[in-house]
Amino acid sequence: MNTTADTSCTTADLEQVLGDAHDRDNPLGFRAVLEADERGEILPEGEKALGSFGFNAEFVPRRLGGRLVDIERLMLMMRTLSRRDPTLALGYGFTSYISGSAMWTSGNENQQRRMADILLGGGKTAAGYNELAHGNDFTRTDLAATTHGDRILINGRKQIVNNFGRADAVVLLARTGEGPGNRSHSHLFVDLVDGPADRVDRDVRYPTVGLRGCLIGGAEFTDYPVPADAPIGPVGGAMETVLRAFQTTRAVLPGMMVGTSDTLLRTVTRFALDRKLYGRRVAALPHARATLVGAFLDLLAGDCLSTVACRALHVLPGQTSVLTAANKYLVPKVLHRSSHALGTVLGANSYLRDGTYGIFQKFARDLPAITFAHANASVCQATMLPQLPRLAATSWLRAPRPPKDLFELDAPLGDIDYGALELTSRGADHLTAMLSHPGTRAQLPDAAARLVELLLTDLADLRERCLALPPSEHSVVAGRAGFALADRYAQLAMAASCLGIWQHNQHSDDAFLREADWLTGALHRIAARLGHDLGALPDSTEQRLFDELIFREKNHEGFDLGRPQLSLA
Amino acid sequence: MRASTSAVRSYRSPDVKAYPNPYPYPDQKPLPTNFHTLHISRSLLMSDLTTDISTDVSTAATVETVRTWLTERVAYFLDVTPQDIAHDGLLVEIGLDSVYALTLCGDVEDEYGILVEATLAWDHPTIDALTAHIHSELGAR
Ligand SMILES: Cc1cc2nc3c(=O)[nH]c(=O)nc-3n(C[C@H](O)[C@H](O)[C@H](O)COP(=O)(O)OP(=O)(O)OC[C@H]3O[C@@H](n4cnc5c(N)ncnc54)[C@H](O)[C@@H]3O)c2cc1C
Repeated sequence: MNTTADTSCTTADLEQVLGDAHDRDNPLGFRAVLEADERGEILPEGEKALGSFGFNAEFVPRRLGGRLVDIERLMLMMRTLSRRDPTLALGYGFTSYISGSAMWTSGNENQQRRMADILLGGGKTAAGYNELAHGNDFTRTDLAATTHGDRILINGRKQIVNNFGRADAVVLLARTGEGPGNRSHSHLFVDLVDGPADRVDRDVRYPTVGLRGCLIGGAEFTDYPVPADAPIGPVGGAMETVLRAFQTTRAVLPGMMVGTSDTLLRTVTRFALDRKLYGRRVAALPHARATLVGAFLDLLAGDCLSTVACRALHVLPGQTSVLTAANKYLVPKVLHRSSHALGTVLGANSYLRDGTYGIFQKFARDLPAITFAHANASVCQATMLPQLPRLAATSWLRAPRPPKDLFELDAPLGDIDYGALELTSRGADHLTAMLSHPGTRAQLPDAAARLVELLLTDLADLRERCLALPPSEHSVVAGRAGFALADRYAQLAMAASCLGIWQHNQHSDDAFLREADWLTGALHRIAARLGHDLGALPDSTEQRLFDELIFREKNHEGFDLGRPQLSLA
Repeated sequence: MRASTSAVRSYRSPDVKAYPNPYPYPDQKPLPTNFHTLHISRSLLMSDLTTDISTDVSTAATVETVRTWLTERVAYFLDVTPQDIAHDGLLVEIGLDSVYALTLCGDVEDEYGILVEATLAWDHPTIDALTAHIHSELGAR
């Protein structure tokens, strides 16, 4: 097996493969993407191109011959894809990585190699968790695996599972013990190519509102035999594996969707520049401008939190159980909201299924799926909530600042170590120390410093409220007040991420990133969401941000932190 | 201290206010509106840092005191009296969900000053089993 895999393929190479999005003759351009969506298909040329690119290698650790190094790289690769077509990103697909993450976390060498071989050979693996009857309530999973002599027999159903119908193998969450407890389930690695096809029915396809081309399927197993070595990790250990592995997927998905938001923002920016009303361009109307700038800021802030969540898996792996949940909770929500606001600017064109701006409605339909698929917003809040009192007592207003590698965009991260991820943070939260540390605030320009002080009073207030939270408010049955605390925590984590990214990239050659306008604007929006009545952004800040937005659109640069060059025919 | 906010308002951008706080605190206090002039005193940063970490009681911990503490903790969580908790009953069956089971490890660490696996309550699923485990961990220190 090749152990010195070629990781030199970059997001720029991938963008090159995808070609000019707006070129109507590009078989991977928006026109083709829209047509495939109308047909309910994954863009066929896209799947071919990704096959040649060996995209599956991105899901496989280098050690096993793939190109998966750090999680930030995976996120940026997925973002590049989802800027072009979220259906392709998921459909080709990201669920091969979701199933892989459980395998790389807990599988033995032999199992890991088998899965790596499937993926590196261009195959697909499905992540078989969901059962319609139980949804997020994994511990009630019914699909059963029972031992009979030297074999295990699988009985039961999985539903709403991406690519199940065409997967070569599936990682199944199966019941291996009685009762709803946390030791009653195991992951099984199930070969679907060599197994008996007559014992599994996977013909079903669930039509969806967004991601319409994705082959969302399911399966029903009847006495389906698998060898005794099918369990991944110790029998009864599935919940532990999930709590580690899914930290990585919760880090990637929101960061991936930043690419989808990029296209939504770009489409509306182009519209605002093209369309004239009342003798001026829509871009010159104050409301439209403010909306565009707001969406740009939300995108940057979303990128900050999701980038920090990815990097934290490497830099602060003990602290990511809460942070990745905050990321998966807040970033999709913020991006989803901004897509609504952008839709109001696009007006009737946001409703048309073809034409110059037709891509908007498709992406706007695709985007929300990420909010509820793979741990929805409330589940993520319920994951953060029980840990908040201990974070409050142990870390808030007193923890040391995190290492600068957490934020430095050019600092290398090395290979992801799934074993280093912890199930709980044990009260440690260094990220929010960015808000409380006087050294950080001292470097800020006035406008941003005042916002940070305001957010710091929020953190102090949140701390008191979390310390006073009765234990009955920590669980899934917590009331609105408890969930509000989790929301506020996530907002503050986003603010701290923005601050850290700004402070620790002052060596960047991107002047926009070094300047504080985006930081002030991003913090302003976060503070507004926290209920502070701040009115509008200062004119000069808005102007600077608007100019940058237009500059990037005209120069075909991404709107995210890395401002990647986009392909041009 | 209450200052006018007129200096910071222009309302030219209704968008900023389009989505007010999605989850306001039900009892939300008025927040400082004078953010331009607000200064955080060091006392806010450093005072009032009460911690919940108890004094080290582990040396005195007997099987009985561990059991009593655990029972009270679980009863407090479930909002029942300690007498309602069967020491040999499965915690998940009496309503201790998986997430709280994870945080129980934090309570144990804070109370006894030892490090325990996050999955403590998964592997020792009753009060009696937890008691035996914690007690032996305390003895092993
Ligand atoms: C496009 C798409 C692709 C998918 N692909 C896959 C796949 O490949 N594999 C797979 O296994 N699944 C897949 N799914 C399924 C997905 O994982 C489920 O949607 C997810 O598990 C959530 O279940 P549910 O939507 O049925 O919500 P439910 O669990 O039924 O929840 C309903 C509501 O109850 C509340 N709630 C639930 N749990 C909690 C909690 N812990 N705390 C507080 N409130 C809570 C929330 O308000 C939630 O919205 C996919 C879904 C979609 C849409």
